[in-house]
Amino acid sequence: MAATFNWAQTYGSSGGPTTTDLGSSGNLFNFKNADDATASNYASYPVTPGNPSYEVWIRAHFTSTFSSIDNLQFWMSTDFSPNTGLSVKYKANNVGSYVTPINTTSSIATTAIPTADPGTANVSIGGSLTGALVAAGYSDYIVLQVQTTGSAPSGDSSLAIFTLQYDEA
Amino acid sequence: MNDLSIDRAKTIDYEFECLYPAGDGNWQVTHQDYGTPQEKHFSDIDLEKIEIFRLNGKGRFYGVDLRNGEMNLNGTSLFFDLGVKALPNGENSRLIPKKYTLIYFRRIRNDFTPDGVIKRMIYCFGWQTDIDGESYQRIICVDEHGRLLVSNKK
Repeated sequence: MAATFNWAQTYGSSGGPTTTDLGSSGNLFNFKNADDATASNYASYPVTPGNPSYEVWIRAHFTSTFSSIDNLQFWMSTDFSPNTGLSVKYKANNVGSYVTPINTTSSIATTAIPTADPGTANVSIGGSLTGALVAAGYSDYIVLQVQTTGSAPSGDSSLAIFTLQYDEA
Repeated sequence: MNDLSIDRAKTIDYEFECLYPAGDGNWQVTHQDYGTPQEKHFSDIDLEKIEIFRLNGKGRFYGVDLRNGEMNLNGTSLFFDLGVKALPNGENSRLIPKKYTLIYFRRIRNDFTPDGVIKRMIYCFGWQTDIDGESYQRIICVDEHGRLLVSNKK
């Protein structure tokens, strides 16, 4: 059986959310003014300067045969360029319960996302940064939001690159 | 299988093998056999019985002898001195492990670019020991080029 990794996004109302695997390669999601798992429709839902995007709720989804997966480290390895007026906020530690995403300033994703390897786990599993998966499953949620100022240029931004590192035994 | 997902690597740079004592100076050797139906995982290793752990690949080998903590880095022997611990009476006591437990994992980094994923893997092995209720780890990580990273953790 081939081991696989996917990013999984959850969207919709917390009363009936939808979780879908995005895959792992290419333009998997865009920050936009809509809550769905469709990357390609971002132009129809632009984030206007001065406003935040909808929160994006993603998780690392592991399926395979493995002994353990732990020490998840997540960061933005390439920032938007230029990044004028753009900042990415996140929370990835102990976000175990899904809450309907919002497009106002997030009270969950409040920390600037690291732009270099954080060196230690910053994505929890089972509510703990020292948690581990010993069978197929998900990390806890990573909640992302791009926040903008009025100085953010109009039009498409460049694409940021995110990195996930983990230990597999 | 979702064709958008990351397949497990078709091959890996270093496969492990485990040497267990088989009596009369002989060894029972088990191989990882990566990518085969017989593939072994870390959980398949008998941590109570294994005496030597090796990574083989790229024409190189790296290993740890769990009888004495000796690392073998492609023919170069490496021991770790844990130093001394200050005693309440002001004297120092040398920290000497009584038992070494294997550590092994692969650290996998995925960079999710617009054009695809860039996957990198390093292979980490070493030992953990408890002395006076404190845990000590010594880990060597090796990449596909044979570059080494030493990681110490009390």
